[in-house]
Amino acid sequence: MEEKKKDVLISVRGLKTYYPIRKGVFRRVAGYVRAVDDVSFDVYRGEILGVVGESGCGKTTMGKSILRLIPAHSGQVLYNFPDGEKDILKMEKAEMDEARQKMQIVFQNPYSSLNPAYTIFGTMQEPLIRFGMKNKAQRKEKIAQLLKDVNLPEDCMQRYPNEFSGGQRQRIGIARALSVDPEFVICDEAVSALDVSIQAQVLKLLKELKEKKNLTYMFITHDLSVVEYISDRIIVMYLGHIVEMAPTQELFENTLHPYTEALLSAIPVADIDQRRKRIPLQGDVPSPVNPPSGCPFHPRCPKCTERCKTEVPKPVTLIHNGHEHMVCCHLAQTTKSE
Amino acid sequence: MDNNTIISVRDLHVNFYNNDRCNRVIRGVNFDLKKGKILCVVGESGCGKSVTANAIMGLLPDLSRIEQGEIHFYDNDQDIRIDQLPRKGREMRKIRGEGIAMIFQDPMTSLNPVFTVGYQINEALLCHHQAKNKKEATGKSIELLKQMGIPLPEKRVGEYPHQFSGGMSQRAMIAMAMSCHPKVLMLELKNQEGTAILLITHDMGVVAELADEIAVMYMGNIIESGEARAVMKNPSHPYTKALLDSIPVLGRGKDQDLQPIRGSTPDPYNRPKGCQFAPRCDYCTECCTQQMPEEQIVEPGHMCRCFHNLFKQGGDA
Repeated sequence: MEEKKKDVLISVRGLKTYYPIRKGVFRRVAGYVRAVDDVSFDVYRGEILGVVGESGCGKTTMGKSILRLIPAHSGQVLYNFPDGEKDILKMEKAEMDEARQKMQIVFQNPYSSLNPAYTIFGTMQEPLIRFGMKNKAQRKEKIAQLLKDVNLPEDCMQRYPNEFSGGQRQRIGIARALSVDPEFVICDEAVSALDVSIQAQVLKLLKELKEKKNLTYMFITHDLSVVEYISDRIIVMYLGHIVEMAPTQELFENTLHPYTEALLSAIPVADIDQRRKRIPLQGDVPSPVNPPSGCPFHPRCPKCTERCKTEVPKPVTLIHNGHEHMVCCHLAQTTKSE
Repeated sequence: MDNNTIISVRDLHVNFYNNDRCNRVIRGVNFDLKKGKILCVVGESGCGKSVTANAIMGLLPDLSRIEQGEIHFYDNDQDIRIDQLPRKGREMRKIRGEGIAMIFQDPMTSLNPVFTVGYQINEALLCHHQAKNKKEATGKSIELLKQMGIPLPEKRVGEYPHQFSGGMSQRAMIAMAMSCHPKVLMLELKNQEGTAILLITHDMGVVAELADEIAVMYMGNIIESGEARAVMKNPSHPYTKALLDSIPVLGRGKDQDLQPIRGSTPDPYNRPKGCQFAPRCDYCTECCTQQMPEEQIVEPGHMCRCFHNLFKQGGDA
């Protein structure tokens, strides 16, 4: 399956997003929070790309930087439009506004992402008006269809967000994101705020919609069981860096980075036969203001060597069982090359 | 009642009153908490898990009342009826902390941002006479932080909560909760020393990992409870079964078939007449819509409230 889908939709190259820290009377820039620090990867058309990592590792910032909702410091986000590849980060405003039709986002918190003063129709018609659907009857018809797609009754349109449960709101958020017929949707912790029984509804819905509308997802989450269920490929992030990237099954079966290993062992599994040994990590995630020298993971790494403390590992793509497996670790590279 | 029981809750009913309406939040809950055991209470938001815990702590909001039932706390062979103690009285304040400690869901908001972490742990120690003076208390605080695996406790004890990460704040909270060696520890979400633990969560992963016993709640009732393995392997209530079928399990890959529970939880002011789960249940029959089933023992130590005993059906097949 991976072989035939090499149609690149987005390629991210050297993306850096720094947040300035301002201090003093003149609000001088005293330093930077390196939220996303030099990440490069491709998103293939039609895949679900999972992004996992602890809180504060830069998952959300990366997602928002790709959509240019947060200005990036440097780097390129090349989007494959029908008329050729263009860098999203360098687009003029008018051009950017048009491009937004292609890419949408579903936010984490369904309680704060809908305007409580607007009816569902009011909220959902805004993107349609923006992208040229001036006829109200037409908009109504379109919104009714969208609501049907996410399994909500048509009469929801006249109601306000407070009348809906979390799961229903999240489905409205999904319907809104899909209203402009995007190609690429970022789901930023789209199911994390939902109750367990509702999570499954939304996950299934997202999978169905992807098939029906030929979507490409970037699925940002901290829940590894969700990401294993939904993704084709997984990116593991740590402190603004991508430490490992591989197809889902490959990543779970042949984990190369010590961080991914620790992360996988730390997850409580909802299967009572699987109580297992953990690799507890020492210490906390270091501050992205002052990232450690060398490998960003070395202060917590159980396999840390002298080399890790000084030299930053370069991402290396290995081919294992026919899968591309990218890893950013000195150890994995040496063991493989020997 | 065996000697290991520390807390026993019998037929607990709690009502909330607001806007001239009455919400019967807890509708007849029974369970025992035993020494050194972890009881996990699982359920969706609004099912009454936290209210149950707050009732035990005597922390119910003003507009609520324990209508019926008993909460026993067995402390050194004394039988204390928590439900009858004044919520803000002296005895209750003594139990809170020394007898039962609670750790709240959000570590970032449960510490006071204007005091140092050390000061807050000292406060608990001094209040409950675990330390004679400030100096001794600080020494104990450092020791507690060290036990929780916080690096450089001597330095950390003088720091403010904003200097702590989320995980560290949560550990500081646990240190505070453990400071007075309580008999019962109640955790919302995420342990030791022969303490009974009531763990409130909706994460089945955490449950599978830690629980000795499980109680599944739905709309104010414990609908199934028992030994962890029995409940997870042989769920006998359709809700428990549905809940287990609806979550992705790590290691089962992309092909697992998730079965979402249809519909959503009913409005607490407009509840179904009979079994609360009936409108969403695949096994629902006439009698389910009329009457809430009683507690049934399906096997020793495994209780279920359902007319359709899935345990029998599934177990024999």
